[in-house]
Amino acid sequence: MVRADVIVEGCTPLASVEAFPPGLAVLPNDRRLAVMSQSGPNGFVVFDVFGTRPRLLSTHTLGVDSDGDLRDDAATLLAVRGAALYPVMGEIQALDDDLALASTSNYEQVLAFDPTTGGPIPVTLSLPAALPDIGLPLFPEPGAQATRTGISTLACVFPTDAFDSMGRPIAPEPRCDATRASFLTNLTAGKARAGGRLFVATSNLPGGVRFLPGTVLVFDWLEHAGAIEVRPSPTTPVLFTSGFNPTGVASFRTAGGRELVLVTITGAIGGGVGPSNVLTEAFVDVIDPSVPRIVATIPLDFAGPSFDAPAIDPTGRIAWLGASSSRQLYAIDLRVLDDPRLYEAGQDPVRLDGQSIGGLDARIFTGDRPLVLPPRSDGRAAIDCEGLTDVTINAAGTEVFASDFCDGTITRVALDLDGSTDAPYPGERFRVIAQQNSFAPNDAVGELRSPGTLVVRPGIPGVDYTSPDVLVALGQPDPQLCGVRVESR
Amino acid sequence: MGAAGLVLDRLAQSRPSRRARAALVPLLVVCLALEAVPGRADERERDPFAGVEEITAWGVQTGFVPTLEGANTSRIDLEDFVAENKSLADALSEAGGVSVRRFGGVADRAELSIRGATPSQSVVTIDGIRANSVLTGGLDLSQSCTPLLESVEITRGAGALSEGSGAIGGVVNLVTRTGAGEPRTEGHFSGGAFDTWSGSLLHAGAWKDLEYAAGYCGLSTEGDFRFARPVLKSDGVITRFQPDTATRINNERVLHNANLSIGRALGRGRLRVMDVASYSSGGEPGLDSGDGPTAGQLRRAHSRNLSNLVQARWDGPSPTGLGDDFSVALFNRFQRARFISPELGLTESIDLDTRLSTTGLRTRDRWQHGLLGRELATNLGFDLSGDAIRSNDRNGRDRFNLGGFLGEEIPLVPERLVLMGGARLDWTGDFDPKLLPDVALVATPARWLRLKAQYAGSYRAPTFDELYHPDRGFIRGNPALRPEEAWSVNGGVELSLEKLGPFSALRLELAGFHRDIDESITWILISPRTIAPVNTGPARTTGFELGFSIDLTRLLRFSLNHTFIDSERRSTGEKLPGQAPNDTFARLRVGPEDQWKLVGELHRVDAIPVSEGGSRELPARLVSNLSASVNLAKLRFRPFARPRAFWLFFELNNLTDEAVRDSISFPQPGRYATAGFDFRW
Repeated sequence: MVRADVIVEGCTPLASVEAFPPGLAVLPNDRRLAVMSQSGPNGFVVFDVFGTRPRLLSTHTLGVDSDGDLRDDAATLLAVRGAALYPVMGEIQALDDDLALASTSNYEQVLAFDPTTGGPIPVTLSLPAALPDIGLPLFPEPGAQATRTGISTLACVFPTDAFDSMGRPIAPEPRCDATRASFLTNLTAGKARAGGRLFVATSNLPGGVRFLPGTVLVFDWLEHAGAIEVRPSPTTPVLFTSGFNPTGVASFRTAGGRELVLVTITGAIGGGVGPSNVLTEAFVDVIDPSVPRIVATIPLDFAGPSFDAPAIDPTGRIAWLGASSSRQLYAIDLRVLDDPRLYEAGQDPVRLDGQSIGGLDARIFTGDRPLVLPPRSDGRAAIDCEGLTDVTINAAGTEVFASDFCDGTITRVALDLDGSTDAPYPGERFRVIAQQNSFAPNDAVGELRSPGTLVVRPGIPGVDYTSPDVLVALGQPDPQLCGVRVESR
Repeated sequence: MGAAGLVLDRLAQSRPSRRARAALVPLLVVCLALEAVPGRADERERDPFAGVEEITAWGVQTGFVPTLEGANTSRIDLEDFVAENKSLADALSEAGGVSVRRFGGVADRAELSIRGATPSQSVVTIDGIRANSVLTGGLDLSQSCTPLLESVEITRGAGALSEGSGAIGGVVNLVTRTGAGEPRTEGHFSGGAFDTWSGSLLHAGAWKDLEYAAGYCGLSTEGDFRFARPVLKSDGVITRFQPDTATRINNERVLHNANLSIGRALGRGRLRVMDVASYSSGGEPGLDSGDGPTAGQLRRAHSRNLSNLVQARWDGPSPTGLGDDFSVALFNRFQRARFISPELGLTESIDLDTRLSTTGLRTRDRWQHGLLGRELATNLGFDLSGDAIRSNDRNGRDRFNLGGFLGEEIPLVPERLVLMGGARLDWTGDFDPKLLPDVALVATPARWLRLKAQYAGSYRAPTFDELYHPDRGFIRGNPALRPEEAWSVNGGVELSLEKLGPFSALRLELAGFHRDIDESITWILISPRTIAPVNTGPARTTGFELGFSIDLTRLLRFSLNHTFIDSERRSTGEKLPGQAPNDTFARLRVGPEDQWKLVGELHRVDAIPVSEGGSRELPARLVSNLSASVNLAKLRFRPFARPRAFWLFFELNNLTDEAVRDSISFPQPGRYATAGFDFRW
């Protein structure tokens, strides 16, 4: 038996042979529980986070039939894709206290599971008789239904006049249609439920740094009497994003009460670090889930944001993004999304860069004008690591917490969103107020380091609970979940 | 000569201590008494003890500690393992202070660790010529074939004085078969689990004034075995893979080894040309890490390795007159490694073809001379070599290495206390020259007892991969690396007794060691997406090794080796990964060694830390092996003309079917059996 011992107070290792837990979520209402996804073996891990150290309560492993179709996943994929592959776990999102969704790639799907146990939740899948420009080979036959625990996101899509990130036209994919430009989606990423629909981003990276056009698959999400039914949107089953590599997806309600979906589009990113690692422009696309269509896009220049969903303040006024290759943050002003001109039918997505209708501009911090985080206060910055930041917003909506993979720090940024001001918010309203060296720099061999996803617990620290208020997933030297006190000191 | 005469003769030869002489007196008295017993003259001529009642005499007879070849050198005679089907990794793992890290089963990669050092921190030589890969630093022990080897010499502790860069943990020298000695033909053939077949044939002899030895050794295995997937436990919760067992796939391998040695007199010395070649081709299943029945293994990855080491060496008196034992060797080591992983699903195909070559000159001179009435010995050495790499995935690189040493052996008390001191100046490629001092003190208060101590510096220059691995985004080398530097101190005692009461051939060796190392090179994730080597902070390793063996009559032999290692990375206080604190190997042989033998082995290894932070451990294990063999030649069985030996053997490894891993992602086989024969002409 491979034993994983607690070596640092406040942190608990995962029972996994892989590093870097890919997903972490807290339950929206239950302040006691958090859930992580892990690979090696694939599964979900439920933690009790009420104490000083997260305590591992249970694990649920997926086995060889993750989607409950009574067939071995690899055998299923071999028939469709010519490769016998099992799922690789991705990010998770707790929709409520008894339903969470997890992305998996290779075997492309979104798993439905109970975040309190990690156990699967059945979903009824069906396929409309006729779907425009999409094929879903692992969905039931048109007109038929099937009960599964995973929603397949392996889709043949057919972009028109499209090019890959290297400027080459998209060729026909014989497994889709040998006569039309097409490809099979892969790298299932973020997802969000909004407006009775499920939006799932697929990054579409066939290899190296060659990105295919980004897609968001749209499913109708029907719940009745506790049962869930999912089917591809009969009118708009797929949306092509404004740039390459859509990753994080989040739904929210604007200050004006409009429900929207934000999609992080990182642009093509290489395998290195620093500004030169960002190859194409980044965006945040705004989807109106009621139509559904992309109503606006917010260009971020060559920002290379991190892959997480935008962190949105509870009042729906601002969203923050981390950076994949630098020690900085980006922010967008969501107030402009209440402008009704964005939602007029029949128009292309509005580019919210101050040069479109009415001069609407949602950009606060972008690749050209980032909020640069200070390097580690004790000067031990990792030499080869120029930053990888993840962000979350505290429960009160007054501060942003940003972790840095390279420095091992957590930085606090104060938000001043009150008082009338024109959009976008001026950068002076946001200032770094503190930084703590919660973990070691990335090159400190043997020490706990490489923080990734971080989430805040619901409730008011010190009032609703007295234990750490932030949970951080760490990757080195082995995967761990740590409780960190940021506000709850 | 009568028994008393034999004892007296032995006494005269052995120069035993006063205590030992006292112990032998009763034995002498008994023998003298026995000689007085009358008997028939012809019987007495045939056997001086015929008709004499056997009386067991209790006492102590000293032995000889072996000739000092290095402060901490011991020798494994592979003939001791005849008809046991031992691989080089098996033989080394039985030695104190040495552990072998295996990455699978038969013919899968195995690496050496001496006193907790990494594989690249130990030098492996073949007949004195370095065989470590200049690309990665280590050496795959599975590529060597024991029937072509005569013995293995293990030097524990810093060996930098003689070998230069890399000899931080120690040095292992593989001595190949030569034509010296009586003409002989040897061979073996075996078959066993995993559809494994192996065979070897070697002939050594002389023709006119030419000595020669030529041998071939081959192995073929399907290599697929069932294994238990890791069971993981954290915070009291157990997590298992589904299914919880899998089969090692794509693990077939073919190995071919050959050696050729030709020697003849040349001038006042002897010229010898030696060539050792190996070729292996097989699947590369990779890590056991993924889900499903294939456990994430690679189904189609394949590797081929070819290596050849040739040297021409002349041994004789120094041509300068300033030396007694002089040798000069010209050598070339060539290695070609091919790795192919075809495109599979979403991954890109890999096809790497790398050629490595090292060509060099090695000279050694030992000069015995007198100074102030003392017999001194001066050792001189000079090494010059050039490494070259050519590959389809990187620019070609060349590196020159230059080193020389001067060592002096000063007998402070003749034949009792020797001070050995020396220093080496070593220069590797673009790095600054290193001065490596080495001082040792050896006390031999009696010929059966030796005390020894050594203090030495050593270092390791980064390998080609560590410096120049091509930047593939997710992995790259680090040209800014600094060499690893280490200081070692060790001391110990060796004891040899030929007789101790009913026991005989008692050997005891106990040594303690401490090593401080700085700038250790470790591959880590330097950025979110890139692995590269970095210099880490200081670390220390402390421990001891115990070797013990004893015979009880000619029917029983017991040996025990134990190694204790306590390591610490200074920055974290945690143990260095990959090394179990306690490693114990016990072996019991029953039977007259030349006729039949039953051998039982127990190998206990403590939990192995496998993460840099110290949070993860592989479980402790106890593995037992059993073998039985019989020499039909001693049973008057003659399958061939006049064989000296014809052994049949059967062995059962891992009797209790333990799930064994030295690395978290590389399973080893459970119980398996092999049978075969081994002959000597």
